[in-house]
Amino acid sequence: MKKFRIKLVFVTLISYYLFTAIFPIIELESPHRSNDYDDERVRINVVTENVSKVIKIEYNCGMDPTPIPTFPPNVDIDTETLD
Amino acid sequence: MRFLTRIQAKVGNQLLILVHIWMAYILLSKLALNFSHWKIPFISLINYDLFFLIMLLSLAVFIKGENNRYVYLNLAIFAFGYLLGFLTIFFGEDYSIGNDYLQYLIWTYRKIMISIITCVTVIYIPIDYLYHEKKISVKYLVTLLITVPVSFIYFRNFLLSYRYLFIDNNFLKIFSSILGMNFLAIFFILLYGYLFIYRFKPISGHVNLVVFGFLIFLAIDSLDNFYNSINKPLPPLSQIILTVNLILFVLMLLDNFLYLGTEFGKFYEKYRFSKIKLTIRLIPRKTFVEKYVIFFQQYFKSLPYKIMLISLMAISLSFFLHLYPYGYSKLSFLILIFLTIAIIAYLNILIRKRTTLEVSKKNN
Repeated sequence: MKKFRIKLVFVTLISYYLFTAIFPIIELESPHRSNDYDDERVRINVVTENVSKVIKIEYNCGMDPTPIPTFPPNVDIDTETLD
Repeated sequence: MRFLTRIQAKVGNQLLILVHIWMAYILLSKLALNFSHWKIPFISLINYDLFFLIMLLSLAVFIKGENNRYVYLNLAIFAFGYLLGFLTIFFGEDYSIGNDYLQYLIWTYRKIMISIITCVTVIYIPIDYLYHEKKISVKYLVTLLITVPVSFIYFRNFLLSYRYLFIDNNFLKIFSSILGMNFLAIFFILLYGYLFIYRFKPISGHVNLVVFGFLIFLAIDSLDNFYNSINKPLPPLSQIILTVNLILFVLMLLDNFLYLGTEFGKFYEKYRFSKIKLTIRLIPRKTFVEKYVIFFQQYFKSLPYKIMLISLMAISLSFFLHLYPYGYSKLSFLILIFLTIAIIAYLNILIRKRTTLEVSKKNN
């Protein structure tokens, strides 16, 4: 029983490691929709001449792992729509 | 297999459970990345995983420990605050949840929250040391009385109206406010250092390492926030320093967790806070840091070693200053070098002071 338990622990650990190794590979092909101009949404925006809403995200994040979304000083955000 | 049983016997089932939970988190977070999200560097993902591990370990230490345990609860909340950033990356009009306004608002208010949490976590340590015989509620009250008014002064515009964020370049003021909060926390770390030399109050051994970890964290964070506040782009160098810093935290918590599990640890923690009265005199256990400082002190005793080491250090530092281009990375390396020198000098003073006091006690 003890041996079986140890085996179980061993197998789960290995499978976890395998999963975590495999998923980043899948993740590479997942849809990143960000600031690329190839993006479908951006292309629609270009057609409607409303590119200004595209948000660039910068990596200068300090000791925080979360990146900083570039604040849009040139985008006129209509603050009334916030309400 | 024998190797595994030996590990299991040494670390116990509790640690294995924690490792399993951590692995499950890693798996789930990688699965979540299949939803559309912001592009983030790979090293940030590693840092999120390390923050989760820190949260788990510090919660375990909080449950298991007896003395200064609320320091670890604060550390767990601090790690959780940083971990919430992982959810932020799914927000936005072009991404999984919400719209762009929500993205900005969540990013900003989380940033304000983690800045306050970091300050509370750091300020609680000297307060805990100073009023160690008082109730926990009193300690928290004092900590909040210091932190909340200062944070309100810094973040008042953002807290009173969220529209303030979107006007002109106001978002840059977040970084300068966080810089102010960081300086407050660093001031309290210096205060703790002063108190630790001149007041003899019991404190759990690993708390000093927590303070040291926070000092590096806050110093580099302040530099980054300064550059961000003047709107300069930075290389992702601080993420690498953060990874090293977080690994330090993990090792410290792991050591604390294993130490609390042993019979010696339980006995020694009670003895340290004088909960056990002994008729025999115990020689205090030398800590890991203490051993190394004494080792280097002995090396420095002989004059040739002293001259050679100091001249080599001076030459390499001057080459670095002269040849390396001036900028953000140079400044961050310089901060690390000067922090190390300051800490070594501080430990030197501390150990000399403590040993002379022991000698004078013996003579009396």
